[in-house]
Amino acid sequence: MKIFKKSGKMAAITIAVATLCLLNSCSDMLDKNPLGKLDESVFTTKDAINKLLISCYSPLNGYINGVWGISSGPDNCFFGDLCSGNIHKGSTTGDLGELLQLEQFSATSENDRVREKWVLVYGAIERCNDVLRTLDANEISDLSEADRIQVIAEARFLRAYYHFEAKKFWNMVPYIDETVEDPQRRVSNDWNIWPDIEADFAYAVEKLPASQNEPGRPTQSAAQAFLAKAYLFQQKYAPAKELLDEIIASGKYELTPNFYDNFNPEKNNNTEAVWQNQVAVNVAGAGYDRSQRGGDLSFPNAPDQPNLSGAGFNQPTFDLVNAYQTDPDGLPLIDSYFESDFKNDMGIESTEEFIPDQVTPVDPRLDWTVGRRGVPYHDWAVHPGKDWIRDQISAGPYNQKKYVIQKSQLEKYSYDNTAKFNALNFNIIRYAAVLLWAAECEIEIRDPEKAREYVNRVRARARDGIYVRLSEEAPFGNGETAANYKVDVYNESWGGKDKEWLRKRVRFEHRLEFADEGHYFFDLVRWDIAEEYINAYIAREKKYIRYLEGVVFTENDRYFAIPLIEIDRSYKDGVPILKQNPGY
Amino acid sequence: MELVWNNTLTYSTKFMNHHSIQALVGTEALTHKRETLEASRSNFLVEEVDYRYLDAGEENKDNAENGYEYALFSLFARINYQYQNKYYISAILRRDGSSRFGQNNRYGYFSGVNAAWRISEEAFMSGQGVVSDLKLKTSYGITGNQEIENYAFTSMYYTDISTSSYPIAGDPNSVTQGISKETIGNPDIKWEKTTQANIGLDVGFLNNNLTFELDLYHKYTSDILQQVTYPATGGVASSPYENIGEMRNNGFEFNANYRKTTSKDFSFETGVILSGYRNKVKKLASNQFIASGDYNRTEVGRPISSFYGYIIDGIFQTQEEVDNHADQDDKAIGRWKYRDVNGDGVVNDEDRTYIGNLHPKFEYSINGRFYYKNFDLALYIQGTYGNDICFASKGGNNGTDFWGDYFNKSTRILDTWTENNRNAKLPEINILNPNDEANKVSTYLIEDGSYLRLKFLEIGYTIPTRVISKLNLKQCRVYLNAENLFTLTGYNNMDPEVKNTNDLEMGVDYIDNIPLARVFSAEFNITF
Repeated sequence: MKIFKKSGKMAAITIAVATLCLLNSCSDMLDKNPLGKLDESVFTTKDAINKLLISCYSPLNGYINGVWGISSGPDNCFFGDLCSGNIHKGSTTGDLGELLQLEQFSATSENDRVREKWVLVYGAIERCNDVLRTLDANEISDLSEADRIQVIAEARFLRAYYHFEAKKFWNMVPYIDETVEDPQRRVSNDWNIWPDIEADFAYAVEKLPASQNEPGRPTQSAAQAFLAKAYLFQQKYAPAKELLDEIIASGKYELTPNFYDNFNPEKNNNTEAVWQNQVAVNVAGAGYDRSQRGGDLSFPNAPDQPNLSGAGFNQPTFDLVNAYQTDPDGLPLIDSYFESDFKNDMGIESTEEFIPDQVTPVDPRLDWTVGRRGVPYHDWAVHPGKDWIRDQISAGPYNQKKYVIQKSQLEKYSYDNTAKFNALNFNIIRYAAVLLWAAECEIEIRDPEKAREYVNRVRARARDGIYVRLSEEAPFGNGETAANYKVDVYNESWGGKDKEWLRKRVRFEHRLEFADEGHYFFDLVRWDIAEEYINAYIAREKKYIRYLEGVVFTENDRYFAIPLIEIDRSYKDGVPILKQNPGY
Repeated sequence: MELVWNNTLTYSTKFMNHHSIQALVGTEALTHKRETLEASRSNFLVEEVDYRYLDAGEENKDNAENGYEYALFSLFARINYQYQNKYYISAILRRDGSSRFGQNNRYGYFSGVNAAWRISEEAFMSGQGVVSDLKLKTSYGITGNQEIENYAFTSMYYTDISTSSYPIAGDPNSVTQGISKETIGNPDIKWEKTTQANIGLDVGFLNNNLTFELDLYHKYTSDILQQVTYPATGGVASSPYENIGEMRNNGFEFNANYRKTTSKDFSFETGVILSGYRNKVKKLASNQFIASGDYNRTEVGRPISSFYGYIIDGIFQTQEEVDNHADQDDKAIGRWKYRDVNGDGVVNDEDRTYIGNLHPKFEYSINGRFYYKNFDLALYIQGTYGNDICFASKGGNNGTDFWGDYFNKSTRILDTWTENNRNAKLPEINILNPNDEANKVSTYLIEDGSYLRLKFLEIGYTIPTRVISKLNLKQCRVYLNAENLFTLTGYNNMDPEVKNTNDLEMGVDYIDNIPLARVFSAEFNITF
């Protein structure tokens, strides 16, 4: 037709050229890769792999994307101590109801504090597996075989640590390794994962070095300690003893001269530290995210000390304080400590007079563990009692003390001069635990006298270290001691004593030494005495704490509920891969 | 920066008197790049404008920079055919490519056909004075969607000092940087496709002063693009976009408009729109259902994002009721009675079920313009009927309707069960939260979100020309305007129009959503 006749040729050529140009350029222009971001192709250098490994350590302080951090850290106070009669929740009764559920053993599968621990642990496990997968998938030219093995050993060690946490909490948990292909990692929780945890730690024992340049990295002895702990949790005393004996014989660790050294940031990474969670403050851009997240809410509610003040959670129980009372020989009153209350300021205003008991003999570890009226609260002030407690009637008159730094340490060890965001490392395992574990093994299978020796080492340190003193240099200096501190070793032989008698002594020592370090509940479960112990404690403590009335601990309360939303999200082909624990 | 390059070639022709054809082929290329750079300092000694240069700031040297880009390339062709003004048909074919899908599934092919028959132009319709316009239209087509993150096809790693670093050297004031995965990528991600079939009828009467339009449609979306939340075992990196499944929407839209001039002084136009749709999920890729947030569940055979939880059947009033009820934690007089849905004698998380539907039965709007002499009035009413809203803030340990410290409570908490107030909706108040009532997602949180809102009302007066011409003005109009004047609803929170950010977690409302403002304004408009 008309159009074609006139400019047909020109039109045809234009169309042809234009089409060719466009078709050629189109596929390139649609290749858009992320700007300023890293993708999988960067993992061909040692530096990148090391950085990927570092992110597996990050979650150790309880903080990972999407969690608050107060119940997901290594301290586990709101589980290990809140559920075993060492601490009360604190603050006012209605504050953070989810923690109250834990103390009353009524935590449901919708409890967010429990859920955050699950999210953190499995988020960290995924990062460990990411390291292993990335090593497998890439050629890293500058990574020597020896270094490569080190990376694997550390990743597997961490993976085992996080799985161990999960096992303690929920018992039936999935074990997820780098071979799982499902990107959602839906793995069933129907088998006992101890052998998998042991295998990872065993590999670490084999490959990790005796010592590390960077204290945050685990050593061979740390791996041995964890492997021994894993055996202890299964009551496998013989293999545990073997490992513990090796650690003790190696002379690698030593109890610090003072009990308090383990809670003093200036003594981070001391001779007693087997493996600590490293924390830091004053890091540009990180705020308080790299500090000790677990203690955030647990500082005394002290309006007159704004740099110290916190929400007042984590309040030691009357039962715990009473347990520190000793007999005139400095030995704990194992079966009768609760028959008399150590003098306390319950119901007494801070303006009223109160003179703390300086006559009844008491273990000096009490005043490095518990804050109480009339005793210097580190160098902040003498604890005024009720004025520093949000609601004394709710949870008693005491504050925690193991997570507090000195006022003089604010500048270097706190974020924004706020004591609750501090750089005090947490002892995930310290040598005193190795000794007491060895004592447990000796009692079960070999020599009670050896057990006594180990327990005595811990008690001797308590006896010979510094005591809390009054005066201007409180808690240090040469002033009068804040109480009649009396603690001493077991002088009588333990040979021939029956196992129950011996067990009681070691277990009591665990409580005195490790109160508020997040262990005791899990210990009660592994010793198989949780129900009797906890119900007996409730019967005693409920006369002080109203909300404990009617609380009963049953076998199903030994493990927490797997978060319901995680079970809901674990469905595959119409069936949930995760199965809930009994009783929930 | 966005660059768009369009090329089209069109050809049109008429033949045999009344037939005409247009054809078009073309390409469109789009690239979009955005970069952000921020730099800041604080602590300036002097608060003057001339001093505000970064070098002069003393502290907190901080900066941030990031960027992203995406691109689209399309080839398309269309052909239209008309006969007189009566028959119309067109077809379109296109190939679209998007950078967001990675190399594997970059291109999608889409097509469509639509046809219309202007019945009122037919010979047999001429002469009758009733129907001024009658048109039947139908269409069928496949369109595509690529609205996902720009790099959904690849995993991305990043270094984040808060969550991927660690002070491994033991220094309390510094950290070693780490790298962690930020986003999980999906190299198999591909175009979402929606197939839609429409049929519609337009009718006009009284010289098109009264018109009706009815449209029915059936939409089927496959390879739905969604970011599904992974379980915690999948890690804390953002989960990938996936083509999660298929769903269907059937719906209608009905439009009626009427205008009239009664006299030279009064005229008006009014219109009503009524629409509704029914949504159903037809297929989900890897799971039977998706438990996206805490309140919603998307399952095959049900509307997307339905509410899921426990059913509450009132409050236990007598001990006999308590004893006869299935096993339930802390059951007692004054506590909520939860339904044993599966009849197994125990109330637990297996008794959760679907408890609400956020999709409305229908939506409507009414608009009108009225003119009387120099006055004018315009109004617009809009509303929904039959949709549920999950008022999430009522629940939770710190919810507005349950006891917990340090958070504000609603006045509803004054109406809790007591022996003298047995008809209360809330159970007997108890700080210890028996049976975790505060946290269980239940029918208590689900409310009727139907509403009617006078969204817009304007009254204006145009000052007569004889008055303003003395001031040399061409036109002057003053008006009073009210937006969101009132809303009729039974819903308890401030605004029944809920903001949805995630298609799988829709209809959930919180107390801290900023409510709609009621705006009054008085304005005048002058033309010189």
